Amino acid sequence: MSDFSSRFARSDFRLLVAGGVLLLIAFGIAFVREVDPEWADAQDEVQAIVQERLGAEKAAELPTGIQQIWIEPLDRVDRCTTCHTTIEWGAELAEAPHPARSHPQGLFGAHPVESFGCTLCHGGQGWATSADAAHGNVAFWEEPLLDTERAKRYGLSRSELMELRCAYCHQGLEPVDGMPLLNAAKEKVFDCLDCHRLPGLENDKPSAPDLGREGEKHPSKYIFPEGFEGERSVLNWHIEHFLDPKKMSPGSAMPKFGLSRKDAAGLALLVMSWRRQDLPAAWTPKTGE
Amino acid sequence: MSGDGWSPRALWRGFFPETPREGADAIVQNFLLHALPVRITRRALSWLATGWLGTITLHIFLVLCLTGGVLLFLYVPSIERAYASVKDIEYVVSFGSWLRGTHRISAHLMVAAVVLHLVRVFLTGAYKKEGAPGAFRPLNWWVGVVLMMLTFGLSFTGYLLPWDQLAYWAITVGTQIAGSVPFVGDEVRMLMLGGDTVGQSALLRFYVLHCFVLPAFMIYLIAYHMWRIRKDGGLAVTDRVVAEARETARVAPPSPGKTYTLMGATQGVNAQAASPASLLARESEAGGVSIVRRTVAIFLIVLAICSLLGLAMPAQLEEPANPAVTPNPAKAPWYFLWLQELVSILTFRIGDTLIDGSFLGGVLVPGILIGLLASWPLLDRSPAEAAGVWFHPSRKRQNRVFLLLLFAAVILTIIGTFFRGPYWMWVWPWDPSHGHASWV
Ligand code: HEC
Ligand code: HEC
Ligand code: HEC
Ligand code: HEC
Ligand code: HEM
Repeated sequence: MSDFSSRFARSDFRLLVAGGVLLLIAFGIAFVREVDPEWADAQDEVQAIVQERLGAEKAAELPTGIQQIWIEPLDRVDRCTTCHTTIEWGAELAEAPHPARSHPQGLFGAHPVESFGCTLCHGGQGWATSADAAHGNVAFWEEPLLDTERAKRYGLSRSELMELRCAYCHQGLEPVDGMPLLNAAKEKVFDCLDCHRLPGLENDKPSAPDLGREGEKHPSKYIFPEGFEGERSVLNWHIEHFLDPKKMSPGSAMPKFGLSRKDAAGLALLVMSWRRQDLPAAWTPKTGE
Repeated sequence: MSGDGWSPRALWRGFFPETPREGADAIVQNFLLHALPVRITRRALSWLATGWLGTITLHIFLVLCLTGGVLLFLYVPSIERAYASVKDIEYVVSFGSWLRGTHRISAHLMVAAVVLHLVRVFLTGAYKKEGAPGAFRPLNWWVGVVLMMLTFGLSFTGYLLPWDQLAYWAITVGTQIAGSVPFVGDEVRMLMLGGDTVGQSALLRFYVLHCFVLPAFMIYLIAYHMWRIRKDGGLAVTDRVVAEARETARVAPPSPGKTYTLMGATQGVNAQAASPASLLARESEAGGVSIVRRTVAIFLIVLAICSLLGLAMPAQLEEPANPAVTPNPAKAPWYFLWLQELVSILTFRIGDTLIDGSFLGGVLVPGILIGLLASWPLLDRSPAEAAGVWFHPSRKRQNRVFLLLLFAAVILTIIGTFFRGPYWMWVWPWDPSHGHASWV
């Protein structure tokens, strides 16, 4: 039996036990994470609010588990309703805390939730099921939620900032209800035709960059001056450029237009919306032309 | 063996041996265990002799097969769906993020483990051609070199699958280097990508290679690698044990006056105890028990560590692949960064002509290194005693050169990983890096 009492036997047995214990710990952590995800807490929160305000019967109607709006023709999926379960519920939750708050109703008439989802208007990451990832506040997600906090950085309200995404679909220079900031900006762009070509507006002898697809120019292609303080975003580049072209683009021949910061932001959002939006006809508003 | 032919019991026969003899029998009779040696020397069983790095590599590979096998059901190899399917794995598949994290971290660890295993084999001279009659360890070294390249190949092909920016540009850079081979470069690149650019056909090729072709080769070659160890008379270190046993038998010959006895049961030095065979028997134990116990322990620990790391360091997924937006710099996978670094060092300008380092740094240097690795067992002139011994004095010079080259590659890899920024310029990791701007 001397073989079996080798000095390795005991230390190997200890290793065996250690491996088993470590493995149990790993499986345990994975299991706990799986059965108690962040969105389940959000659902509980909504549940509690609905129960308190509208009674247990209403609360029983709430969906559980991961929810999603799948828009097959667009190959998009928005899982925002996993947490925002009561988004379509109407005025009784209009003042409730997030994520129990219901949606401002008017817009869903022309943009039914089943076919528009959420991220087309809001930005954010439809795939995600945790708040930070869904709101796009994570590395490697280029389209963050256009929320109140982000809008504040530019002195805008949330709905003003969101006009950017409205304009991805509502292209053209006709005014559109619900987009006051951009409607105002659209009136200013005829001055630009002296030098630029704009989408839908020809210019025989442009002396400045073609702005027809300015909104497609990737952030990595905007150069910020040395020691630039402030938000490093395309939006901010444009705002600063409109306020003082030479600051962002040394030696620029573009004049200062004496715009207010808000007007500059409107113009910037408008310029950023000048990009192709390859959506099927049903998602493309008919323009007046 | 009982005479009644094969029965399914052969699968688990001998799992609970009660004597060493039964343990040894199990190895012979049990299908799952038959690859293991009947006896193993204590020296081979020790941690110091090998670090068990080969076994660790094998078990990381098993973890990769386990996790990858599940991911196979979830991942869609099309450029429209690949990225989305990985997002779904991350966000809605039960345990998906953990699976993917574990698979990714294990892939990195396997590359590291296989290189460490090679380093161990080199520094112990375990590839040497001198050995017992019938042994020829260089063959296993060559199999090993191919296994290492398969490991790189598996990792490289897997890199593309998520179809994010990291994947797309790492493969673009990697295949560009392959394309710098003189004369046939374009054809090589075309063969890898199935086109001029990284697109659907490249994704499909990489997918088939990653999920079927390369693992199949890997499994086959690993089995062969293990079998060769048996054929070579065990690990190189056993050669030393055998040689020492012979030596002891020679310097302590059977004491005169003692009668040779077949029983040989008396204590102390008698003819039996001093014969190489019995010395060996004392130096070794039944493989069936000790190796199985050790192997299972290592497997559990490897699986546990990979799982824990998979939880602690979830795999990244960058922006969707975008051929229009080149990250600056675009980096190859980390284990090729020493080559990319070489390429950049060897790319320079003399007057108006640009010397392109791609071929030199990306093809020639690694080609020469692989060639040297492959031929080394034939070039190494150290004596037989140098096999299976760490840092044998007769191999001092070659060990130094080997370690120097290794050190250089490690340093270049570290530089390439942490100290290179836009345009491959030097950056300090602690400098604030602005990356590129965001949209809003
Ligand atoms: C894991 C749960 C969760 C998911 C998934 C989620 N949200 Fe939220 N959302 C919250 C919570 C909690 C708040 C309130 C606190 C906050 O702002 O983070 C909130 C707030 C908001 C707000 C108001 C922010 C503001 O102050 O302007 C908007 C708009 C919003 N979410 C949209 C979305 C959209 C669009 C998605 C899908 C892409 C989404 N959410 C997915 C939990 C979630
Ligand atoms: C047609 C565009 C559009 C779609 C589609 C859309 N929203 Fe909104 N959403 C808006 C606008 C506009 C606002 C109002 C912004 C404001 O007034 O500040 C808003 C407001 C909100 C708010 C904040 C409500 C408040 O009172 O603070 C939340 C939360 C929200 N939306 C979530 C969603 C979710 C979840 C979806 C998908 C189920 C969705 N939205 C779909 C345009 C849209
Ligand atoms: C995905 C594209 C898309 C987005 C984003 C979008 N819309 Fe629309 N919108 C449409 C379509 C399609 C219609 C249907 C109108 C039609 O048939 O011409 C529409 C209709 C409207 C209408 C009805 C009046 C009309 O012109 O018929 C208004 C007002 C409107 N949208 C405002 C907005 C606002 C404000 C936002 C941003 C919060 C927004 N839209 C975001 C596609 C979009
Ligand atoms: C006098 C001619 C002139 C007028 C008028 C003019 N621009 Fe410009 N613009 C330029 C020149 C020149 C540049 C290139 C240098 C620079 O980036 O500033 C430029 C650059 C730009 C850019 C940056 C393009 C890029 O991506 O590099 C934008 C955006 C822009 N103009 C918008 C406008 C808008 C909007 C108006 C009208 C409100 C306008 N410009 C009026 C001359 C003009
Ligand atoms: C997938 C990759 C590989 C696996 C799974 C693997 C597995 C193993 C295992 C389990 C052993 C037994 C000893 C030990 O654990 O150290 C071994 C030995 C050996 N391996 Fe590997 N190996 C791999 C790659 C390599 C590489 C890259 C080389 C060298 C180029 C190599 C050369 C050898 C040699 C020569 C031996 C015999 C060593 C001796 O006799 O001491 N192997 N291998």
